Amino acid sequence: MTGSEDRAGARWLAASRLVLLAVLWRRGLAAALVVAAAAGIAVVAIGPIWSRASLESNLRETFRTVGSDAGLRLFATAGPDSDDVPVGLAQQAWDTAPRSLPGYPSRIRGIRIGVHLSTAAAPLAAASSALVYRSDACRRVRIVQGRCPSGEDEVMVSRDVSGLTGYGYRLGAEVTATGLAEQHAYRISGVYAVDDPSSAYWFGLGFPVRSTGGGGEPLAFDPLIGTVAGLQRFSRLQPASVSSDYLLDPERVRLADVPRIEAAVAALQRRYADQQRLRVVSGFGPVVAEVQRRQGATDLGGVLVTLQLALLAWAVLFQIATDAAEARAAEVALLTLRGATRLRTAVFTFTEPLVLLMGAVPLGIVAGWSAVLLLAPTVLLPGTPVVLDAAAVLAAVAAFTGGAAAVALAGRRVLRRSVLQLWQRTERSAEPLRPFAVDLAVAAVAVAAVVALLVAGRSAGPVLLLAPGLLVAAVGLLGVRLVPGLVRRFVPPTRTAASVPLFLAVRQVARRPAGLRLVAVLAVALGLASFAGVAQGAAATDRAARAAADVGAPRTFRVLDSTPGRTIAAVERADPEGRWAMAATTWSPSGGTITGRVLAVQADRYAAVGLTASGGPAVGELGRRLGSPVDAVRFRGDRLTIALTATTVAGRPVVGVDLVDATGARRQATAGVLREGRRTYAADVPCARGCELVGLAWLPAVDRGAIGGDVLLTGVEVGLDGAASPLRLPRAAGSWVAAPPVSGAVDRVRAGREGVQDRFRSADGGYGGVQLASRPLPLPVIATASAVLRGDVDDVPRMEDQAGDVVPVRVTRFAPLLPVVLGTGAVVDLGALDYRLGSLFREVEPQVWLGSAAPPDALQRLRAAGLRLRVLDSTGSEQARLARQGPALSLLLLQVCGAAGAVLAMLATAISISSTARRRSYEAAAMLALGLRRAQVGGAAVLEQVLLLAAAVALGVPAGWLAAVVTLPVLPRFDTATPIALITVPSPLPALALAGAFLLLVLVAALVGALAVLRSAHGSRLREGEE
Amino acid sequence: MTDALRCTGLGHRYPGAESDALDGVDLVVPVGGAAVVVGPSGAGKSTLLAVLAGLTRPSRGRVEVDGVDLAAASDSALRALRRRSLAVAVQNPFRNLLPYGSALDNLRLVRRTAGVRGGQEPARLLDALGLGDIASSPVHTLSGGERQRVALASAVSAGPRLLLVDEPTSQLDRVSRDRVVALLQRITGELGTAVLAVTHDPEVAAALGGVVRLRDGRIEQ
Ligand SMILES: Nc1ncnc2c1ncn2[C@@H]1O[C@H](COP(=O)(O)OP(=O)(O)OP(=O)(O)O)[C@@H](O)[C@H]1O
Ligand SMILES: [Mg+2]
Repeated sequence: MTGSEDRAGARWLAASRLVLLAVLWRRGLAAALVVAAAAGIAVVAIGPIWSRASLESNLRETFRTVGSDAGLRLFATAGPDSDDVPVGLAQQAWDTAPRSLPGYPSRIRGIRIGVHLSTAAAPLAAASSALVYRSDACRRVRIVQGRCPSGEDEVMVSRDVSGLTGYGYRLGAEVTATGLAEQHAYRISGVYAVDDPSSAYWFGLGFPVRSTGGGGEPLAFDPLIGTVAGLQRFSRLQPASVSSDYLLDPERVRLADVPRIEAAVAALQRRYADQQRLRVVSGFGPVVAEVQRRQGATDLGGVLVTLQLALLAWAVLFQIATDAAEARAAEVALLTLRGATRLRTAVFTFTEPLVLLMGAVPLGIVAGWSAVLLLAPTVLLPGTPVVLDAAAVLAAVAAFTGGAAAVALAGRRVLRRSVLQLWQRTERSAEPLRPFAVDLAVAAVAVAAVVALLVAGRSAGPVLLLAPGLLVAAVGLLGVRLVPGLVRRFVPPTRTAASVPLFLAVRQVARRPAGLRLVAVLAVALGLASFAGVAQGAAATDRAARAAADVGAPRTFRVLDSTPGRTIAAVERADPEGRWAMAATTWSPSGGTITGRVLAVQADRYAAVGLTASGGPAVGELGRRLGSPVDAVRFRGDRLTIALTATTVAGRPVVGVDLVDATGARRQATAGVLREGRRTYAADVPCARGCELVGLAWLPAVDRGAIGGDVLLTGVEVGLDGAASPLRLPRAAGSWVAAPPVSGAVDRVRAGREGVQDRFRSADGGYGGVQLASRPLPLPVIATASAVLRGDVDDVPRMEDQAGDVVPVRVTRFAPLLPVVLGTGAVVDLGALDYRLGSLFREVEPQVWLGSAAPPDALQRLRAAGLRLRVLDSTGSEQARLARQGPALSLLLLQVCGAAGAVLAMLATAISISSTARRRSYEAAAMLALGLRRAQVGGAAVLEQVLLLAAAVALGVPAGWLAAVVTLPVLPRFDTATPIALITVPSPLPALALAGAFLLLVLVAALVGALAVLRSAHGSRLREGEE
Repeated sequence: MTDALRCTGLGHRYPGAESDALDGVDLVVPVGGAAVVVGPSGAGKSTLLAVLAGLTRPSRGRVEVDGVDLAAASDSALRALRRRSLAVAVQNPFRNLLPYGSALDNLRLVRRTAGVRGGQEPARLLDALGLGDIASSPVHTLSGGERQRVALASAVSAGPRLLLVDEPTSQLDRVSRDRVVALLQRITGELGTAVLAVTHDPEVAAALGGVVRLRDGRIEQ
């Protein structure tokens, strides 16, 4: 080592020592600078970290929901026209395919042969179906009867198919499957049920199939599941689709794996590109691209949010850097006095703050990372990794550059002053606040942004998210100019003793530009924070409203292995009072004049369980309009005795009793032939576990001849184990109606005090009767206008199911919006619909909805009532899902950063107060010397700070609320459109809460500051201060 | 050989002031010599020092330090002059020192700033000036007298031709004052730096010699 190197090292060491000593000497300011810089860097670094974490979360959520769309399918093909290959090629096709791929840990081998099925019981009713082999199928279905097929002549059938009466697909039965040119017989070894038909395992196989033909004739069946050997009994030439399906494991795929998976998929596609026989299909690329496209919008929102906050943080940092530079003024003067060159003085001036800034970079990155780490579990999918990547570090470096610019600008002011100016302690009150043009420019841009936002409406891009920030900034900057004038107006012209503190405070407020600058920064920070709070509050309310409309009730469940009727009966058992549970379903009519989706609910339970869709009718009204004028008549018993008075009877009609039993099934009992005179008619009924009385029917006798009569129903008695009691029947006008006529029957029904009278007549085997209006017909529905097709005038409104059964409907109200079906659809009573369309149970899967009053053991009670439940949805999880959408994430980021900004501005205020405390203590000492009392001087100091900070609150908080009011009508809340009514006039509560909390802080800070000033205001300060 | 300081016909009026703060001041301090300006409060002593140090541009007259005309000197020439020849110790000791550094730190900073390599090492200089004991203590922990002496030592550590001192003893007790005076005497005597001091204190003036009386901005003969 040479001597000069040695000396250079020593010099460097000495210089670093001085920097370190200086930092320690001004540790308060240094800490403030580091904190402010770290906060600014954190705000900027949060952007990329947050973006990556939310992308990761979105990707996983999308992979979960798209299921097999993100999978990979390698299938054999015969050419451009047909995807079916000879089944004999299956093994060969599977052998050439890999067992696994990156991201796709396992594969499913599949064969599907289209066949026609018949059984010995129904040899002619050939249904089209498929014979399917899928590896692992027995573990993916629930075997409800028998066992998994093994060997070449066994198959499983679905529970629905097995349950079809008259077709003979029973356990142990033989099925004949007819292929292209041959047929084979299989024995049914088991009956399966698929609990989750949309599971990715089935790879969008169009499975299970529930379609039935017109007139109850089945057209297509769920597939039979067999073994490879069983399917290969067909000759080699039998056409079949053969595939290797690879399932993506969404839980194990990370963002970092995406390029590897894409490369693997692309490589596989290349490998099979020139092969005629095998084709590769994967939605992985498009799914990822779509996620990334949506992320783009989120990122833009995030960038704009962080940009605003970064600007604010910059302003705060600049303020602190200015204070720090002022604190070094004496040292700069010393260096100049000792003849240091300009360069050397500059290096000396900037080394300390730049070192602090550099120290703030890792702190800021860690702070940003920690903030995302804290935030991620509350909104993103659980387990989302929060990764620090190069983008975050680059952003932090960019923020550092911005901070260095702030330091340079603040330092430049000091460097430009002469030695004497540097020594001067009091700043010039003549120093201008800011060029007025700057404020006007900000205001003009803000107005332009707001106008653009309002003109663009909902199509406004995320760029217009800048509008609130600009508006707040404009109000803050311009408002501050008014503060001195406004404050002066409050000053009493005379200085009475009591008003001295106020007088002094007002004078200070009006004189100090530094104080006003602080007010501007604080006002903007508070404005952004209150905008974010108000907007977030509104968005959270909107999310709750949308979730309520989308889901319909706080919690919903799928009911497995059940029918609507059985589900209703089970719900009645579990919750007899109708406080918290309801059966429901959604259904798409196959025909008729009502289109879209139909939500079927229990009208009498809807008000207690369901949620109102914002913008649509209230739940109470929905229930009322769907319900019936009378309550259902329910009883338990084994015998009904009916008292009838018939004045005329034609033909030999038989008295029938229509019932719905405890399982929800329709029952009919007969009570003998109707005769003239006052008589009783008894029927044995299967109602020991309870039944609902639907009505009475006048059935034609076996000769199907014409019937007619005039009958008065006067009473019904229920017998149970030999004891009899009267059944209370409604008698009010309109409480009984004519039963739906079969083959042209005519009933004229009138209910009154003496009983229910029916004059009826029908011919050719047709019949009618009376029914309680508890099952009104036409079925009352509430529909959206777009869900009702308008045909001819006399076109009766109706709904049809797949079996061709028709139910007439009457729209009792048109609503703009309905729960679950939203803009296009209808709501109807489930019990009534199921009663009218007996075949409905084959088309729908029942649901159970739970209301907010559900007890903790609600699910146990429902299970005890015989229901098998699977979670379908809940408003909570729907809200969480919506909160993970881009706009919500941007708003959340704004709120978090806005709060951070307010805290930061508060910090700047505290620093500014403490760094001026010394200067103030000279003034305070002077005032004490002039004979003012300590309380007056202290009061003045408190009042000054309260005036400044209160001005910031008075400007910022209303500005934030105003920004929310202006932008909320167009502020995007969701990724996807919703017809529900969103909040346009937000609640000011979050802003008021913020203002209150802040004012409290202000008072505390002011008191502490005043105490500090007074404590150091000794007489000795006067001599020092005079210099 | 030029004088350490020479000023002729110096006059100064603060903007907006009724009368001149300085009026027709002529002063010469020879190389290695000493001069003391005394006068009542408001006489213009600090103003004179600021003008001589090149901190305030005089309304009229001419100041030459080490042969350089301050009025004609550019900013960088003035800085060079301060590095080489012109040292100033102002009244507030904190303005002469980095408060957080030690005496050694401060002396080293001045020497580094002046680019001085040879000459007396800071530690030896402090020893020689009787400040060896407190050389490593941070300046802000020193007493007023110690601080004043460290300030003077630091000002002359790069070996200037001229030292301008404002009120070196204003807030000191008798013992400290005597030490400061002794230090100033050694600075002129042993280091060969010319000293121009401004003071209220007639005893200090008497000890340093070469007294000039200032009243109402004019030199009293
Ligand atoms: N910055 C200034 N602006 C206007 N007038 C000033 C300024 N500084 C000093 N003066 C005036 O110039 C005159 C000389 O002031 P100066 O400070 O030089 O006196 P001084 O002899 O140093 O007094 P002291 O012994 O009290 O320090 C005084 O009348 C003073 O009021
Ligand atoms: Mg003076």
